[in-house]
Amino acid sequence: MSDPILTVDALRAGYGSGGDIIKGAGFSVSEGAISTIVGPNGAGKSTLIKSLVGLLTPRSGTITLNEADVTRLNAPAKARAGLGYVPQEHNVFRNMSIGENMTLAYEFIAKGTKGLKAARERVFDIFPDLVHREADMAGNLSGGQRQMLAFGCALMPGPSLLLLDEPSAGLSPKYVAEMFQAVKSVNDAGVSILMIEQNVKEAMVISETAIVLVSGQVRAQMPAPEFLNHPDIHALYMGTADVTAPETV
Amino acid sequence: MLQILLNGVVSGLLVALPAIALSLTYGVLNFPNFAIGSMITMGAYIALFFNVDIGVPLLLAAGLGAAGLATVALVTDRLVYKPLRNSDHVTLLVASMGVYFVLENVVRFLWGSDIRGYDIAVARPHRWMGMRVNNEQITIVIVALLAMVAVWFILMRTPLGRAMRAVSDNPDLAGVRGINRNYVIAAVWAISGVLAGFAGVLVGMDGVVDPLMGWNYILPVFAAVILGGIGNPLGAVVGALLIGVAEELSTLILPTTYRQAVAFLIIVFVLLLRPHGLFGKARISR
Repeated sequence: MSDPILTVDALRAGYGSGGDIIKGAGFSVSEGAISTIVGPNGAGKSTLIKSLVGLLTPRSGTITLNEADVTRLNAPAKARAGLGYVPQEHNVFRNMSIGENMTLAYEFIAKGTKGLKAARERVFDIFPDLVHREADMAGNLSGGQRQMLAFGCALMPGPSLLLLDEPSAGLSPKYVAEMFQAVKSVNDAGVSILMIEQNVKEAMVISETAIVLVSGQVRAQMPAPEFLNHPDIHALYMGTADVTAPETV
Repeated sequence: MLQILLNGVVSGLLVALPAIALSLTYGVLNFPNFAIGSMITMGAYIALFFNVDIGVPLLLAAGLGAAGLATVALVTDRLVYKPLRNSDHVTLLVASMGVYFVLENVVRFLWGSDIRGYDIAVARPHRWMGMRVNNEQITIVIVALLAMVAVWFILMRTPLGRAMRAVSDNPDLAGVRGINRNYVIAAVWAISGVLAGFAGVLVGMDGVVDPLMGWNYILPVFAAVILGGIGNPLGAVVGALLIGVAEELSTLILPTTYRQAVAFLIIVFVLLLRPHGLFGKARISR
């Protein structure tokens, strides 16, 4: 196994004056791999991803990206440190064209427009649907196309780790398959991926690692095939299964 | 009739600059900046100080007034709005009312409450197509149009403009895209300070410079912004022109003292018929 690109240790996070939602979560993401966070509703998956990308400042614990401590960096600084993020909803600027969305996704992270064209071509190679539509307003795209644009935008500045929040949520079956195919091809191009997914079975087919989050804590981290073949996934979710020594991947 | 239309367009352009400023700050900071009124006043007085007290030509004095007001806006943001950044928009609105009164009284303290005017030569109005057009009106039209083109260019054609539209649409996503919100906020305050500063000088040229000059503009400016669709700077321009023309036309049938009431009536009708303003629908909101 290669070195981790992201290491999270004893992370605690929550909103306002409320209690912790993430309660000491710890896991690692291997470089070059696809890792998938699974867990029941209310486990804190979205809160976890928000604190990883810097939209929520963790209360304690550490986040290490590419061997640098990024725990307390805000979202723009984390983006410049190489963290890409595709939110589940509201993930494109609706009142801007596709072309403007792509330019915007590049220029503030790469600090300029040098290399913009090459980045654009790279994204068009993965998402041919976007080609020749640069003048179209992003708000007029269908759900699936919008998801593709959001994904493409996150790739524009060439992140080393990409975080995807339920990339297949709300997509038609045709687009679900296409989306997972896109995730796989982005990963093949060398981008490490950490995603949250409800379509557990489909996601595990392309994933190397499963991270099971229950009640704000990482219950288990194991190779994806092992997770799929686990005799009692239900019990694993509920925390009643006997998970002996969660494997560090 | 043509004369009334011309006067309406000129007073509409006077309203347009602060309306753009109000719209920009609303879009990015998500609160209606009531202090826009005293920003107009203060801009006029800073320029007056350079023009009359120091003797700088009015054009340069107006530039200094705009720069000075941009500085005032940035300082105000640092002292008042920044500590309240994540507060409710009603809290921020009330804070901006406080800022209104502080700025107006700073003006009174520094420059007194007398009515004053710029150092400009009195000239006979030109005759053009049967209308009387004075030099001040020509200046107002030119400066206001230039300022609008500049704002449009910044907003639609520069990285800063894209960043401003992005923060206005979705601040979290803008952050994830590497946009530093504080930098965008500072730019928006500076731009709205410059716009309000120039507006102050133009208003002072059109009439007189006194500590209440900005107060009279609050209503038409808000009406213009609501009419054009809140947070839509280019819609605010159209709204301002409509208000200006409507106010002037009203003088045909109403005593001029009711001019301000026209702005009020327009606000009421727009809110009843098109709650999102004339151009509110054009924005995609799903």
